[in-house]
Amino acid sequence: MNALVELRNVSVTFRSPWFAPAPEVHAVNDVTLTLRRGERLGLVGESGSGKSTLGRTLLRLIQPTTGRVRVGGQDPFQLRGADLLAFRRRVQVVFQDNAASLDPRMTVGEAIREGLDIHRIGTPAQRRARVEEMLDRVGLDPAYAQRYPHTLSGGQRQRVNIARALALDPQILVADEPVSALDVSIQAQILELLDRLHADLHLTLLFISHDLAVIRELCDRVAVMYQGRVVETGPTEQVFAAPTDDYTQLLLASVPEPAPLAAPLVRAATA
Amino acid sequence: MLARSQPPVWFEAGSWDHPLGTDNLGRDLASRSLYGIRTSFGIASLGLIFSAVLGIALGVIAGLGGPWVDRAIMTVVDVFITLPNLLLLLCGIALLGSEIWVLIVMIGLVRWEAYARLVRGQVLTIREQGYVEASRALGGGMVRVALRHVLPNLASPLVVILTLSFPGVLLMEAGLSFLGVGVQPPTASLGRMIGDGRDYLVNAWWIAGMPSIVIVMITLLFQLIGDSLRDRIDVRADG
Repeated sequence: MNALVELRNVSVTFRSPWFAPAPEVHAVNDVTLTLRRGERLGLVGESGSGKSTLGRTLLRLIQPTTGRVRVGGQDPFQLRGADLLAFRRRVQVVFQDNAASLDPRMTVGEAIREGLDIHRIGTPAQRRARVEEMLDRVGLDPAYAQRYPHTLSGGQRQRVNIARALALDPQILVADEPVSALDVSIQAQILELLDRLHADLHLTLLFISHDLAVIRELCDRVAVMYQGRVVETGPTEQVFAAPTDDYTQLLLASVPEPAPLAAPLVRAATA
Repeated sequence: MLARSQPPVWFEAGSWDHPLGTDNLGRDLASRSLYGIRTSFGIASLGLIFSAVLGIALGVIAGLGGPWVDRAIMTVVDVFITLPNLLLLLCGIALLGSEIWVLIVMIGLVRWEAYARLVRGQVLTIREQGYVEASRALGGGMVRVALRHVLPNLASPLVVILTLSFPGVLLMEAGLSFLGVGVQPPTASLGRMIGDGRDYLVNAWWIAGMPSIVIVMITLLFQLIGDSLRDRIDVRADG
């Protein structure tokens, strides 16, 4: 058991400002979760279940109120300076909103190069070569480096976001609903790309989604979140075949089945 | 001294020697207006740049610096907004004297809060964008976010706002000079010229009238430029 990421009893509570005495929000409530090296863990749940907040905690973008985060044995929240930069290289992210994730004033090439610039990796020529290499890897023509994000389609933009995240050669990729904003045929292409990159680059993937079909296709293991808690974890096929938790059963039952089930209803309605 | 208070050329008594007429001391209004534009533009642009730099810097710091910095800066902004501009200007000039650099600094000090407020609002929006979060995840610090993401995305709305507010600053300088606390004689500025002509409004209205027309035209020109800039930039932002 080689746990690369360890979340132990992590809770995130959003405090309301002092002038608005609203109740506190427990976005993430006592979550314990591990990610093994090279694993693809699917984090599934309805909107507001805290899955994105949990992802941001792993990215060190949101500080947990209580609990412990370990990435490769280190607590990212204790890191400063060069150690923190090293952590940033190891853990990268792709967000849902492919358009908002790219600065409209930066070309695709500049966006992909941003991580290299921040970490001062390589000479300008090497960075340019790396940008071309990454574009090639995500299946885009190197000429796209000169273009601005608004001239690209949603699927192409998401490929750029993936290229930017992977330019630093991370170990762990958090994919926060990366295909939810795309239409189905493009979804399949991006999932296939993620699958291939996972194999080629030995990535450890935390894949956040509300879409069970997508998780089932890509992930080795699933964690189901409901109201800030992880209610069930297990290998994908096991969870899908024999869910033990009530909420998971409900979630699986709510997925519309194709024709066979719907057909009698349609017939009944038209009779 | 024969050419004192000579009317503009399109009047019977006018001549092509002085197309816009002369003032009570026989000075040519056309050439004085041109020189006045230079003085007024200089003061207005430097004042605008000073206030813009101050306002943008404080707005960005307020937007990115966290809740306490934000609250401190915005409190100062609120105080400045409640102070009457003219009173502040007159106090400053009374204390520091009516030299040109004092005018520039004081104009900067009464204008900056508007930019700070605007910039802070924009920064709060930009800060929540995915690309800022992605930049932080890549390891980018606040300075990088401010310089590489926030300022470039602020640039186009700012250019429009600054262009549109230039006439206001110009009028502020003109108003002060008209009151006699701005540019001191014999230096020509548009407001000064209007102030000088005030006493001759009945007999020789053009002494105040010609520089007024110049101010109106400049103001209108900048409004038009600002409007068309805005139209262009909006198209690009939507694209």
